[in-house]
Amino acid sequence: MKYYSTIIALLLLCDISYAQGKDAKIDGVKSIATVSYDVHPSGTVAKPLILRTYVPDPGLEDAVLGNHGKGAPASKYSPGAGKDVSGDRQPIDGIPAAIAVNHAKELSYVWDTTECRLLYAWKDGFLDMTPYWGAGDRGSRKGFGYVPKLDGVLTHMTKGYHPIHINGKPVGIPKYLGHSRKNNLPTFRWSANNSVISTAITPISKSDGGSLRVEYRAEGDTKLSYHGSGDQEQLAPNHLVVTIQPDPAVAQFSKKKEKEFKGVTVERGEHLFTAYSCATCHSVDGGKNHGPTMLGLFGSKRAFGDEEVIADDAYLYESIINPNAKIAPGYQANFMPKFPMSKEEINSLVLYIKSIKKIHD
Amino acid sequence: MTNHYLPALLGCVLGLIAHPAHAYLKVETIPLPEGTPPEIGGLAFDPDGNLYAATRRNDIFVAKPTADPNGFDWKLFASGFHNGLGIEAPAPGHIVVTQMAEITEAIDTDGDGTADTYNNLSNEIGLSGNYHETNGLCPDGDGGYFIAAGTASHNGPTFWHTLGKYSKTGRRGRNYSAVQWKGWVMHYKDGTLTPYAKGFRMHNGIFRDSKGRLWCGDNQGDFRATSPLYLVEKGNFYGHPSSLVWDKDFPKDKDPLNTPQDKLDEMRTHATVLIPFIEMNRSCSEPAEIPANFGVFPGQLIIADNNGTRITRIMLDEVGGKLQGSCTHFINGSGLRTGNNRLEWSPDGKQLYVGQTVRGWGKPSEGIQRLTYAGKTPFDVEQIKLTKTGFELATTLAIAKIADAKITVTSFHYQDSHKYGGGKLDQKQISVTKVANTGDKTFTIGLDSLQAGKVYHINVKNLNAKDGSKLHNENFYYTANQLH
Repeated sequence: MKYYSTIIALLLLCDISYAQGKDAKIDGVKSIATVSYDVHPSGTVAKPLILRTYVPDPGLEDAVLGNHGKGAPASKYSPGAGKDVSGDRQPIDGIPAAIAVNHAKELSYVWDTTECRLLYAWKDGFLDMTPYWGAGDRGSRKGFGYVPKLDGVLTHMTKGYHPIHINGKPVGIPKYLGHSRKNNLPTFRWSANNSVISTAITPISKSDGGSLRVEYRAEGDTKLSYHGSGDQEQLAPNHLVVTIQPDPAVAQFSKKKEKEFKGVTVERGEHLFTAYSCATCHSVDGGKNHGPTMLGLFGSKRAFGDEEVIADDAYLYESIINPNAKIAPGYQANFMPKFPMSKEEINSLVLYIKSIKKIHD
Repeated sequence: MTNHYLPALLGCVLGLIAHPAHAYLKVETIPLPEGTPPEIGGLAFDPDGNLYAATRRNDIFVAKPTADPNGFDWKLFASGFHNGLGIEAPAPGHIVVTQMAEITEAIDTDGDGTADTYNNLSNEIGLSGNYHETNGLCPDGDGGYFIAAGTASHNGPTFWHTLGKYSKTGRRGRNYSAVQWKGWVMHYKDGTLTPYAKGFRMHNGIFRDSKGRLWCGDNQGDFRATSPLYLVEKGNFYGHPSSLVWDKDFPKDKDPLNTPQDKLDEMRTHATVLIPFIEMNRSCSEPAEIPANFGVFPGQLIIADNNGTRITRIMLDEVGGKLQGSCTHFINGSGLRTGNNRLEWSPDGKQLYVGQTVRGWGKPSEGIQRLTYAGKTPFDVEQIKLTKTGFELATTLAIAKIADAKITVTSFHYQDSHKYGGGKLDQKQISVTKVANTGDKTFTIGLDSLQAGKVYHINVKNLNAKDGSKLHNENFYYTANQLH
């Protein structure tokens, strides 16, 4: 229920040009066939890119993620005060331990090592890693959650409990064993109910993308049956193949509209303070950190050698646009990066910093 | 964008040109394949001398080191690692990697130079969805591994769906342990993961020395007044309370975060060496031991600074059967970049490879550098021993005239608390009653008073070697947990 209201961003309008442009770039990189580190990483149809990262939760049912720990809001805690304060910290959507695979624009999918199953698939793109890896000036994290965004069009989302039955019984707690990459294609191995099962997922070419084939094979005389969506073909008691076509219904999940801020406001400044993770270095409760605390900063006297400066609007503005202009004693120069913010944004941030006069609780 | 890179580029160029005349270590920069963001999570040599470099974005490259720092022919060995920050290579073509969600073994079974089999050794260390839960590993000397699992940061969230059990009590705190086994050192062997020690904040890097002792640093922050070096022993608690939420012996009805500080102080094991945050090491990462044939300071521990252009040298001392000791710089600048995350010696012990990453902490300054002993012994303090009345210092070269030395000693202590970091408390200058040679390379410092639980800052000025060399380091910090 909680995450239907916060469906993760799904970019319906995606720029697919990078997927084609990537090959040219690959030639310039010695010994590497796929590009995993670009903020728009990509594989090829024959050699998919296998990426381990946090991945978005596009709105999966609880039943799909039943083997995960159950997150919950927790009391807000002030490290400065050393106690809980009013309010809760809310969890966000994301899948922690999945494997994301990209066959260029034909197919991307997420296979999860906790549930040992395919979670969802999409086409015409892969992941935008910018929220996690940052863009351009690498080294500066941006955003709060670090969950990448889906690029492309969602074509399949799994439902309900695990679709495989083993010797007539539903999968108990599955355990991920590992995967092999023979012929560059991943085959995931997992165990459940004392049986070892392998799963291989491949794109079905000659479609307009998003169609896929899931092959399940069990070791020994284990009998497998399938109870999920798609067309299935039982090749042997321990061997079955499922074909899944794009589901137009799941593509309807639309991007949650991010709140838009206009003008110069404290609220916008607070949003920026969080979005740029300013609190990584600047506490709001007097706590010591890599940078000075924001608590009571505005209007305070700052000593620089023999010079005393009042931390006024101009001081705060300068410290944001040119962090090295004045380095408070005890702190390092060349530490704080310059952030790409508009004048309105910087002025909003200044307003917010001015508002931090006492511990918020 | 360009102006972000200029200082880093300039730094590289300057680093390559000239080092100060007194530099006893040569610093070289090793490029990675073109285009690869050089965020180095981990470094490891296999028994054949191949160097594996784990980048934080998915990949593991391998190359045979060459004398020419620009001659490394990197090949992609394996991929599919989420923040692989710990790596060991027990055999050629066989690596063990700690990554966010898993301890993974990757093996090249067909000998084509690329891993084709990936095994999940354990995924029992949970993952909350936070970005901060660092990982690292070292061999246990018996076919298993010790794993350091760092806590999460309140600057990042957790997920509605976590890997492993979630605790909302554990989710509270500045640095927190919302899932098992964050803030712990774990032991892995033959498919079984067992808790080993607890109470860590961000022990980014773990190391077992040639005597079989297990070490890790930690990062100044909540419940860490300054950066410590810990001797990790089974069952011990190291002071950060969040991990206790997963301790079966900690009362279920008690909240670890509400444990009074004096109770935490009583429960915890002290740092072997307290390392001043500003002066020495802002963010301790991996420790290492200087090999016998490196050329200088054999057998001493060093610990990298992830947040400074420095590596700290540790001088251990045994008092009352317990280890404590002092620290100074092993290298401070001289072309070394910041972001120093992992330390790995070449198999011949002649070169120290340093893996660097800073993502999110300061400006980009990342990649691989290697340090080689330049051949001229620096005039430096090699050992500091506590005596009944003060300290005895041993230098690397014969001392010219001890009477010329100007020595000041200051004492202070640290107090951990829920607040981030802590200053030097009760700073006091201690009267130096006597300075005298006890050999051509040793001298004693007599003090007016000595007190357990203090850090002694020894500042040595105006001391020269017989060969005219000036003292390389002037400042030393001795942690006196115990007195004789």
